[in-house]
Amino acid sequence: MALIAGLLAGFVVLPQSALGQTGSDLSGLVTDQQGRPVVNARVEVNGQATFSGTDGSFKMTVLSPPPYILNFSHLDFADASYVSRTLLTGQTWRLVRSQVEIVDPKATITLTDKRPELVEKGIGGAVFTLPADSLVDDKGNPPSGPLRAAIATLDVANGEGPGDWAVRSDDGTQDGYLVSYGAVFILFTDSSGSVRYQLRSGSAGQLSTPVIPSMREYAPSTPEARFWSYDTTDGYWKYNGDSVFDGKAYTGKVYHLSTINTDIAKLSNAACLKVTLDASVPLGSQLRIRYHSGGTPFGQTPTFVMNDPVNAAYRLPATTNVLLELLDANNQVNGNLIVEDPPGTPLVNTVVNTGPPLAPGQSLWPPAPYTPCKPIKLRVAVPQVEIRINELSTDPVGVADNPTDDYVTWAPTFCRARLNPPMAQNAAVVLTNDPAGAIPGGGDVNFAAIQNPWPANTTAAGANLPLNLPANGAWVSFVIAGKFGTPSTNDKDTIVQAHLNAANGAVIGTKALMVRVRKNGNNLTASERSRFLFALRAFRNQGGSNYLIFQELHRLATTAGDEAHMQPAFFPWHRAMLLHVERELQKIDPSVALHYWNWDAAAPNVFTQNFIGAPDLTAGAGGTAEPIFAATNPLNGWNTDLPFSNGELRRSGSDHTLAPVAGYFKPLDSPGNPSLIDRPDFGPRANAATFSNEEEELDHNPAHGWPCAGGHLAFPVRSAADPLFYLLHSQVERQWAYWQWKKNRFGTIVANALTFPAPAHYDNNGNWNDPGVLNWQKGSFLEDGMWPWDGTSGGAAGRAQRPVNQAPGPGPNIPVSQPAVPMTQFPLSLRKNLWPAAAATPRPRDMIDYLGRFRPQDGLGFCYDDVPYN
Amino acid sequence: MRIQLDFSRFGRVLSVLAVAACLLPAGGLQAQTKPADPEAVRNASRAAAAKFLDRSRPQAERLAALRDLGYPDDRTAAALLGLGLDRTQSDTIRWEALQRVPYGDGYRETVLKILSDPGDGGEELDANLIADLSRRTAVTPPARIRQQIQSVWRKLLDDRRDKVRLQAYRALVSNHDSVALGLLVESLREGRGVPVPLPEAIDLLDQDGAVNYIGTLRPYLHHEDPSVQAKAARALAGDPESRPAIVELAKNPSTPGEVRLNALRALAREDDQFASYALPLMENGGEDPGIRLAAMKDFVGRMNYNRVAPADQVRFARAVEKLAGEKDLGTDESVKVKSAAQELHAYLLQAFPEVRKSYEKP
Repeated sequence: MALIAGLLAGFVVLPQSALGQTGSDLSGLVTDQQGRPVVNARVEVNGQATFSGTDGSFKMTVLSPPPYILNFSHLDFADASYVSRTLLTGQTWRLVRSQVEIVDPKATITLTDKRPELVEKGIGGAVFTLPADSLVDDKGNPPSGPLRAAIATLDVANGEGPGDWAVRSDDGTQDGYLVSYGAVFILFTDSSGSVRYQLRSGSAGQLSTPVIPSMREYAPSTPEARFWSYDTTDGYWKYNGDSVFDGKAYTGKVYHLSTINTDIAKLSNAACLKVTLDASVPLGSQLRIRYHSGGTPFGQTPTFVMNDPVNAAYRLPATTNVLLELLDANNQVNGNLIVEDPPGTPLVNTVVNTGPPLAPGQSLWPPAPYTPCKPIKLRVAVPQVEIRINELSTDPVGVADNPTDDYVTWAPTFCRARLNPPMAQNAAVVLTNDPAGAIPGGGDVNFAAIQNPWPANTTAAGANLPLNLPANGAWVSFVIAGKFGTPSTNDKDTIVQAHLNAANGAVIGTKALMVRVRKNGNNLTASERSRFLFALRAFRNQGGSNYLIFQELHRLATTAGDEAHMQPAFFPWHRAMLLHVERELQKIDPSVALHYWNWDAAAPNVFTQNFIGAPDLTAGAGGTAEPIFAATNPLNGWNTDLPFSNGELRRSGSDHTLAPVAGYFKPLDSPGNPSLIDRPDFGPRANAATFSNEEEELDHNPAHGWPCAGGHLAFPVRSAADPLFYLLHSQVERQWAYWQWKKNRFGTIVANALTFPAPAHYDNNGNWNDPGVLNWQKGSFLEDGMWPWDGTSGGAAGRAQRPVNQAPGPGPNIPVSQPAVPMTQFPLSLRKNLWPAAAATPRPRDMIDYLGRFRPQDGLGFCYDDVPYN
Repeated sequence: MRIQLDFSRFGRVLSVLAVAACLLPAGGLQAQTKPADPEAVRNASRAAAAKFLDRSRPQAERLAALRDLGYPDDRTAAALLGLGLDRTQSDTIRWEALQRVPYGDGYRETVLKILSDPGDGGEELDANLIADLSRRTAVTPPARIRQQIQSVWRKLLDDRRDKVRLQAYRALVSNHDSVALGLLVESLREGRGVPVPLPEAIDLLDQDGAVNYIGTLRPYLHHEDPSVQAKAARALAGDPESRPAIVELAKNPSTPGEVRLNALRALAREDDQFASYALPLMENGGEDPGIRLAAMKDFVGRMNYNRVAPADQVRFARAVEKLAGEKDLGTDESVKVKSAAQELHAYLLQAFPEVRKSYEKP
């Protein structure tokens, strides 16, 4: 075990192994109080020396045995020193800048410390007066010219001051400790700083050291005190004169120049603490000990580096209440310290009694295991971070977390985090993903700081995000988005971690969520496939809103006044329908998405017995047969509830596991081949060479026939009876989404960003000029409410045949031909911050910006595995 | 006769899948396969088109060039149409050309022109073109075009070539064409002159909704040809009057396997009493393994989408469990049944709360 090293306040230390016979490394960084590097500071250990570099760092191999007296000196700073039995690496040493002036040694010198920081601290400045011709160098020679004079009154109450307050009795037989009332550093050098000057033998200076605020009430009862000088060779304070308290300061003559302390020496009643660290306290943390009450008052604040799980703090006044402070790497007090006194019994505060004095004759530095010292244990109440997905900081504080909306896409999703329970101090955390590979197939997210309003066309892109969480538990907003290329494969397999202080810090909060995207059905895992099929089965069987209703909905939409096909509303109408179905499936299993059948390549893993059904080749090309399902496929026994083939599914007997012949489908984006993506515009329908027309006629329509000529899918009035319908139309959606991405067409108003048909098509004044659609239907204009969510029937478009407000079917085996369509509004999104915030009638406008690029809350909550946000 | 297990058919499908997967070019399963050099793709496509369109080259060479053809541009598409119309070309070349022409007026007009000319195109070509046009126009085209296609197909209903006639019936019946349906019904009633193979004729009526043709179909439930009987059983399971006979066919070990399998499949969807005979079939160790397997699969299919009494669900699960634990009889078929039962039992526990609950009880 290493010892606790007494040291100057503000030093941050990481432990290093004890010195061996061959030497050990000492390294660190020298800075000023503001953390700026101090260049060319002299660092000396037991007679070996080096200098800090341009970045303030130093390193040396120390050959001498412990204990170590580590001394720092620099022309512009007060000397610093600490005593330890171990060498430390990576520590930052903060020096106190002196007030420097040029003086004439041949005249009387008066130094008055007027540094501004003393005023801020409420500390008076020391005054030092020296008669003329009082200084000589170490050879006894007087200076030949002006000297640099440095003075620095030390804030001993906050750890400034060298050494560990060790003192010996005048006869050298007893060890003790000092009780400080104030200290000052005084130094005279030549102009280069290389030659130090001391008082000539027989000379004395007059010193006045103000009493530090914390000891002012005790000073009157201590009218006389000694001055002590710090000896950098052994770490002990040595007698240097006497002083008298004059009401504000201790004043008297000093005979040696150094760091000079006004102190009372205590040669008995010394105690020590045996400090055991819980794993929550990082090794290398500092423990600062302040006088609190009772016992022996003292002004200094001994600060110790705790190198080991068990440490000791020495030279404390016995039976004195002291306040313990844990300092972090930045010298900040960790407000979450919990002190157990004795170990296992937490105190309500961090004040402990130092305990009885060490026995007479006992070393004040008892070695490990520190048995004579009073045992205490320290631990840190680790802050716990609560993370909420899909919530804003402005959402009600007390609202319960909703685990069913922890699902994200590539689009930005608002989140918030807080300390729960509240802590004593703010916590700096860094949000990251869990380590790569921690969960096989797990998703990842990107992070971004919140912006209000959130900028358009922007999603989260950072690998991590630092957050400062207020101690009071107030929420802090941030933004995440699924990281393109790493979606989830299973529910809640994406883990956001909150690390304390740094990305590699302790994990103090986690949140599981899912990056839920629509995927190529050919690449699904068995689990993804299974969840999708089970959800379909449950949706088909459930009462109320169920599969058959949407099957019927599509049938009716294609009958009188079909606005869903060969009309401008083809894309938005189907997007609304699929979204509605997808959300119904997600009520059953929120990890499900509407995956797609990509016909630009063979999809042998889609048309299998374990997924959407394998073709029955015995029917032959042109013939039809029930697709083959595995007995364990939830689609086994699928009942279309249609009078055709007694409710069996029917598909063609051709081998649709093979890639379609080139020319059958127009590829979406195949460089070197004519592709849908080559089409720059969405409409109008009169122009066949538009994306919308070509997609519908050269891809969508043939897709309905390719695996299913003669089967249900081949006919609009019953195509939705085949679950393959949804994979097919998800591909149609994907093609539109891909086109939108490539063309940056997510807007609905600005002409340049228009994604829907040309302005003339969606002039809400009715300025329709597309001769290709003479009998345009409702849904052709941006603001049109679309059927059936608009609740309409009848009218010029011939919807009279469409039933209104039919009661939903009773569940399984809804009577054949019972028209049961929910002619109600599109239900509100159960996942917050998505369209619609309340039940609504979808318009084409609502379906276009599916990623919510202009306003995240207008997003639809889906995305595709190969269509990025940016 | 022992029943050929479904697995054999599954095996064929799997083989096809495997072959298909092997034939795919590297990266062919990627959603957006992007060749490094579009110009190289274009050049390769042009070269392939030139080679395929070169009438002087050997057919095998021309067909091999199709691999690199890609999606034809307008010029190539026009050339392919021209090739498709060229009677000097083999039907194989013409078919390969036409099926690569993107759908549009040109394609449709060309196909209809060929189909309208009795002297143009062989049986395979015409049959293929009917099927191809059918699936490409699956989503209802405008009425004018639909009528145009319909009139051409109708003329082929009495085509002397079997495959052409069959495809014409398939294409029209799937569109509920009254002429084609009328001819089928009339011939089936008369029991002679049926224009397509009998099983196919019955299946076409089933596709259109057997409920409309019950009287026409019933006699075929007792047809001597198992293929016909099987299709009839499949079509008539929804007919309460026919059902008892179909149940008997399913139960009777002397019924041809094809009939029993189709009967079970159809009854599972239609018969509330399915458990009463399907379970004993499944539980009968002496029963044909193929029938036991089919009963098992059809029963769970029924459970998936129909209300099955909890007691029957549990009984079924126990029977599956027992089957899964049966002593290995050493035959491949019994091993397959046992293995299927083990998988199915796990599925039952996952999918059906009543089954799960029954296992949770002490």
